[in-house]
Amino acid sequence: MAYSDKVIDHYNNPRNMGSFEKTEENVGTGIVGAPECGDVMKLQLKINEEGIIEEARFKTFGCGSAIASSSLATEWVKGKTVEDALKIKNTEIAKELNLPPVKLHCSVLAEDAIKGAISDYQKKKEQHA
Amino acid sequence: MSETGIAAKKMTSEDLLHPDSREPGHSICWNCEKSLGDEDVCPSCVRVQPFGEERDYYRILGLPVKLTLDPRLLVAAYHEKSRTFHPDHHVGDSEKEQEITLANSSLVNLAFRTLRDPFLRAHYFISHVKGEAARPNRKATLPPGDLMEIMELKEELESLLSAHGPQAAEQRLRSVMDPIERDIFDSFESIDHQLGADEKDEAALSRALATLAGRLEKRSYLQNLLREIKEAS
Repeated sequence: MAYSDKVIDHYNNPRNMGSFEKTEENVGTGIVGAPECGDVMKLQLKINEEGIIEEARFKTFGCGSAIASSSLATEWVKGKTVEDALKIKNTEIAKELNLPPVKLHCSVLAEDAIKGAISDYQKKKEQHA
Repeated sequence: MSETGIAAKKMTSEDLLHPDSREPGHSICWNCEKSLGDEDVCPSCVRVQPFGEERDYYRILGLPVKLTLDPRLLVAAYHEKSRTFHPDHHVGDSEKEQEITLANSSLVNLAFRTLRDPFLRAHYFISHVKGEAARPNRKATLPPGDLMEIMELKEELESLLSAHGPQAAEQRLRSVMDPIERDIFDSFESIDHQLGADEKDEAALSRALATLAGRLEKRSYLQNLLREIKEAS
């Protein structure tokens, strides 16, 4: 199965790869996995007081599609409000990357990781409120 | 070939709680219309019978629905069923009978391969108890802490692999995997015991099954890491 050009581009030049300190108050961490293929995806967001996502980082173990999905997700969430980031759908990620049906679960992981990171951030804020 | 379809119907928890009282399938012989139970061959007209959709892997091989399975029992059942449905024994049969034989043979093989591997067996057992058989792309249920651990282990293995080679990496992975596999095996007997008990503690049973499912899931991530190390060596 051939990867699309966009997947290959993200795979060769991943955007925003890396980590933030997960204990920092303005950092939300989402970590999700797919036991069938063994993929694990970590997505971190740095969110400011106004609720805008300033920075995003990812670290993904998995196939090219999983790496591309998380790389693209970090690009898309940057500059967005938390509310808008929650509106990103896996189908949009899959469409942008031309993912074949067998790789759709990679884009689902990316959507879940965004949601997980935001909910982690919100939990932290509630604890400090 | 709907009448020879895959045995996919889930067992109810009632079936598992009373494995011995499960009624055999009720069907009629496709040829002579005699009423049948779980017979592979109609006792009246001696025609092979399709397994039917509701027959699970345990019933296909005629084995008790348990997590612990005597390998000798399993192999004996497999050999017996393979002989019954071996195409060589049905060379002169009608097209319909050959079709049934072929479909049954492949189900017998699938049942054997699934029940032979203790981890696949446990997975099959649980997904049937919980009725999750129809959810192939289910989302991970492992807590974030466990996933983080797996991610950190993976990084550690990568540096071990490049610094000390595959043996060192595999040894480190085994040190994490072995205890989990031991826990999985240990829980087999106690869950079987609970299922066989006269007075069942449903809540405890469902907790034990959930714990087992979590361990199986964690192991499947580790299994993937092991495969990667083997591929690298």
